[in-house]
This record gives sequence, C-alpha cells and structure tokens, in this order.
Amino acid sequence: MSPGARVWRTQFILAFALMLVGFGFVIQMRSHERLSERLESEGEADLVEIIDELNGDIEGIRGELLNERIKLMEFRDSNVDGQAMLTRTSEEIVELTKFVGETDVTGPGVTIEIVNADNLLVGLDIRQIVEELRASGAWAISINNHRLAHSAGIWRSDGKLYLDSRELDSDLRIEALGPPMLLAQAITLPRGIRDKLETLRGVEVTVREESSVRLQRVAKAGGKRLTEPVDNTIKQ
Amino acid sequence: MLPLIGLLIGIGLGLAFRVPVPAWMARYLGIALLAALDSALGGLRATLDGRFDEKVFVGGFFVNTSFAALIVYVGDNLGIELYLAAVVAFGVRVFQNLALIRRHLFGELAE
Repeated sequence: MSPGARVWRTQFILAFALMLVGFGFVIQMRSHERLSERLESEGEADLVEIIDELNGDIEGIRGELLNERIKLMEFRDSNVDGQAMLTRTSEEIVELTKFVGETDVTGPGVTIEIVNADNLLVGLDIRQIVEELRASGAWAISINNHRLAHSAGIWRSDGKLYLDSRELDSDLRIEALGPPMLLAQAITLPRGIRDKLETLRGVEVTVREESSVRLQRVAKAGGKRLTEPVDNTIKQ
Repeated sequence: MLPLIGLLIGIGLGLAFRVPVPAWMARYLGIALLAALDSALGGLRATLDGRFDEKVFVGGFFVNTSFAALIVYVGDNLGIELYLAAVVAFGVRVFQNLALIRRHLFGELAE
C-alpha cells in the first residue's frame, strides 16, 4: 500500500471512530436531559394531576347530588312505602361506604409486586398503575397496605415516595379488587405500564391474579381538619 | 481534517435521529463513551507520532468500550463502585492523550 493510501485509510478509520463517539455523545446527552427534565417537572405534573382529579371529583359529586334530588322528587310524587325506600337507601349507603373506603372489603382481584432496587420510580409511575387499574374496573386499591381514598395523592420528594403524606417503602405491593383477568391484562399488556417500568434499572414487576384479596379501610388522616360540615338538613 | 468531519457527521446524526436510551443503560453508555473517546484520542496521538496500527486501534476501540461497560455491570452486581475506577482510569488517559496531541500540534506550529 502506498504511503498516501495508508494515510487516507488511517484518517478514514479515525473519522469513523469519532463519528461513533459523536453520535454516542449526542444521544447520551439527550437521554440525560430527558431524565432530568422528567424529575424536575414531577412537582408541576403532580399539581396538574391533583387539580384534574379534584375537578373530576367535583363533577362526580354534582352528578350524585342531582341523582339524589331526582330520587327525592320521585319519592314525594310516588306511593312507594317508606320502609322499602329506607331499605333501598341503606343498601346504597353500604355500597357507597365500600366504594369510598370506609369499610374493610374482600373479593377477587390482583396483587402487583414491584421491586424498586435503585429507587428510580417517581409518583407518576405509581399513578399510572392506579389509573390503569381504575380504568379496568378496580373498585378498591391499596398500596403497601394503605387503602387509596377516591382522591389520593402519590408523589416523590427527597428521593422518597409518599401516599397521602405517608412515606412508602421503595419496594411496593399494590392490591386491587375487581375482575382479576382484566386488571392483570391492563398491567401486563405488551408495551404497557409493566414493560415501561421494567426499562428502568432495578425495577421488576410481578402481577398475580387472586381469588380473594382483603383490603383494610382508609386510615383516618391525623391532624386538624381544614373544613367542617355545615348543617345540611333538607328543609321541608 | 477527515476525523473532524467524521465527528461532526456523528453529532449531526445524533441530532437528526432520536434514539431512545433506557435509563438503566445510560450509565453503561456513558462509561463506554469515555472509553471510546480515550481510544479515539489515542489513535489520533499515534497517527501524529507516525506509529498508528489499525489492528491495534480497531481492536482497542471495541474491546475497551465493551470492557468498560462490563466493569460497571460487574461493579453494580457486586455492590462496588467500579464505575469510579473506570472514570478515573479513562479520564487520566484522555487528558494525557490531549496533552501529547497539544504538544505535537504546537511543536509543528513552532517549526
């Protein structure tokens, strides 16, 4: 090989190596930026989600109130005897207390165990699991034995995960009541939430369908309540 | 000149194509890149010294990058921060190579 050709060959090999280095540096920098942005924006995303949930709750309560008013009008206008109406209302109250977490509940469901060895999970990851479960028919959910109320806050602060101000262990156990197969499929769907979380280092997600899961009632939050109920007696 | 063009093409390709890197892989890619940079600078220095051997360079480039990532993986599994050892070793070599390249270029300019 002539000296000129040797120089070109050397230069070409070095150019190729540096091209790989340049390409690698850019994709590494971009992925690092994305990760930082995600962690920094977590607080803001939390607020947006909480406000969104509160708006949803308000709409739900308005709907419930309207239904109850319609029932009251129907009761006034009909000849249904008072005892039958009382029984029906009591049954509805029992169902509602189960739904909002006022009583212990048991039934078929799923158990999701999440190993979070490097503590990389953020509040958004857990909220996505909860949303997937709710969308698939879960009517009661608990995380590390803490039952979720209808509007629970899950966030990360100073490297720790919190559920309604309670610190959670980095490894998580989520239990949900509902149709077991549907709930399990919602999590294990290809390219779904499990696949997404398992791209994080040290994260492993195991989902088990259970014939019976028992969840405790929502623990009462400590501290002084910021609001007090007003007299809501219906004026006849 | 050609190596510089190669570097610019690589940066351009990186900007043009969005290649997702899973978070768990970022650590390994980072140390592999440091090893690759060390090999590339070593190759440039060898070229300037007139003793570039393409077999040694190509072998070193791929073996160093793979081995650097492997060291970090082994360290993670053993619970030892071997990552730091690799960063220090490659970091020192990068600066040594840069110093030699600088001296060579300044020497040529002085002549």
